[in-house]
Amino acid sequence: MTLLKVIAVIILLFVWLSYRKSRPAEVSDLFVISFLLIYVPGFILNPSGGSNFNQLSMSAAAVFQAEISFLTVLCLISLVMLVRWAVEARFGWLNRVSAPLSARNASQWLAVGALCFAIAFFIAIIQFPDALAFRKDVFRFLTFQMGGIEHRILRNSGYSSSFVVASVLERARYTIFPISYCLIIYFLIEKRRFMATAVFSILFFIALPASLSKLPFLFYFGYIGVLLVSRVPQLHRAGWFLLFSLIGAALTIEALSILYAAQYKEAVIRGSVIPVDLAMQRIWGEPYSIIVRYFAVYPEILDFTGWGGVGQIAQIFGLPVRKPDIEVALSMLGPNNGSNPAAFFMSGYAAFGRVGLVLFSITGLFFLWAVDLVGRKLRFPHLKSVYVATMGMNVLFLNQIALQTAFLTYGLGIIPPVVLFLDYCVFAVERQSLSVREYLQIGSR
Amino acid sequence: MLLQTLLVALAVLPFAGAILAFPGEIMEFVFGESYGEVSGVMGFMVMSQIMFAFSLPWSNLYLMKNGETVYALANLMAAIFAFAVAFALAGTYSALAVAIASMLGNTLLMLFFWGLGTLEILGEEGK
Repeated sequence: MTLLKVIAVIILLFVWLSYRKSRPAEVSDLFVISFLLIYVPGFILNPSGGSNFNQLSMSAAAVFQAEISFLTVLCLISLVMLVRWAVEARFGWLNRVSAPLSARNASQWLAVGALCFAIAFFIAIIQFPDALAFRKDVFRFLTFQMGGIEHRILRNSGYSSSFVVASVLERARYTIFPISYCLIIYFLIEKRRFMATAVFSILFFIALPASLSKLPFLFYFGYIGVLLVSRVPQLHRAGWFLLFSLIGAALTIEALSILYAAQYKEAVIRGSVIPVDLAMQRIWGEPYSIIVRYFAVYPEILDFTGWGGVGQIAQIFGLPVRKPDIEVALSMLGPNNGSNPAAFFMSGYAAFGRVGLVLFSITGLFFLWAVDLVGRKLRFPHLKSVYVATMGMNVLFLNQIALQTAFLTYGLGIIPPVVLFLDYCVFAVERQSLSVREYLQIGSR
Repeated sequence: MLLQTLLVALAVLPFAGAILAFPGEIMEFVFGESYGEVSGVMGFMVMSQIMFAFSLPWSNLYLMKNGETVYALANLMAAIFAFAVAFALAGTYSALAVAIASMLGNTLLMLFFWGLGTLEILGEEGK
């Protein structure tokens, strides 16, 4: 089995890197890299899903089912990549990247527009008392003035009934806010105002996407990182992204192992706890373990959820809503253990078994292709960078959230039309100022 | 540079992964049973060597293009940093402190050379 897994991973790497050869990295590459880095080590080295953290012992049948299903997903990724390759070779227009156009002042007026939008949004939401209270709580959280218990209560249920916070802010946090943010900092970076970029980032983060969790920190750092890299053609390659991710993973292991060495000092000195081992289990043991848990729960403990487990569809058709991520956590870990969200295709498995897993995988992978095609059609380099930065980071959510949730709440279905619309607007406004050479380029297409 | 670093990663990571996955077994196999207990130290040493390996392509490039001063200063800075960390932690963590210090020193070295290399690429782009 291990040999089969290694072969499947090598085939996927070979197909992906061959397909990507000599072409700038695209959004789907960031998903492939993150998926491989997050899940494959656990899949190969710890297929049972048990670790020092969860103390779980799942049945051999569930472990085997998980292994077979994960192998299927790896093969599907390779297969869809091959289909993309073949179709793009046959229909060249799919493969064609729009020639970059230079709009003289577009990045400036888009930045001003985004800034006006951000200020208007901020003023609008502080009119609501619960949104204002939330902002104050976030400020206390960011300045370390909030205790652990209070934080847990506020984060889990404090604002769940507030429409502005739970619906508006939560949905804007990873959709229109990152677009505005990237449009503004692109302009600042272009003008080499690095200090202004840092100050603005802090102000923007406190004023708008504010959250009581640490995740947005990571993502907004990621938006800047990918935006910087995507501006440099030499670095904007799948290989560089893979390399940066590998180094990032190594640095994360180091940071966690040092934290564990400090936390379990006595045990580490005695030799009963190995910090690096513990850090690797935390980073790579848990994500794959959650996948195995789905196979231990469905259908061994609970029936498949059917459409009731696919959130938005259940709500539209008035079906009793079931939440697989919470059901898995409840069944495997007991009450008060939060949720166990897994990779996007697992909601398909929880709903319809192996067929659902295959259907959701294929849908998600073809959706990523569509996302890449949109990226190729953008005409202005700064909008392309903003698109790669926002979508490139947001596709990481596919590793731990259902496909339909990632589509709406995490912007995968919202950012492409918004950026395409901005691209069209810039083209319409700047049409007159495009150079003769660029006009000839457009005419020849 | 990308190819060189990926080749380094390809050469180092499988061995490093094996040592990290089976530290006790490998130590016992190579050095004998009495060394099996020091697998905690091994983890940090392996991470240290991974970081050093990642810094190699850029640091060697500096050596090849007459950047010996940068190379020497970076190594000196990492050595002083590692010595300070080892000295500060030795009382609490004994041998483990040296392993942690080595890892942090090599991480600093790697970040330094990577930062310098990436800035150079960004600088070339800005010209």
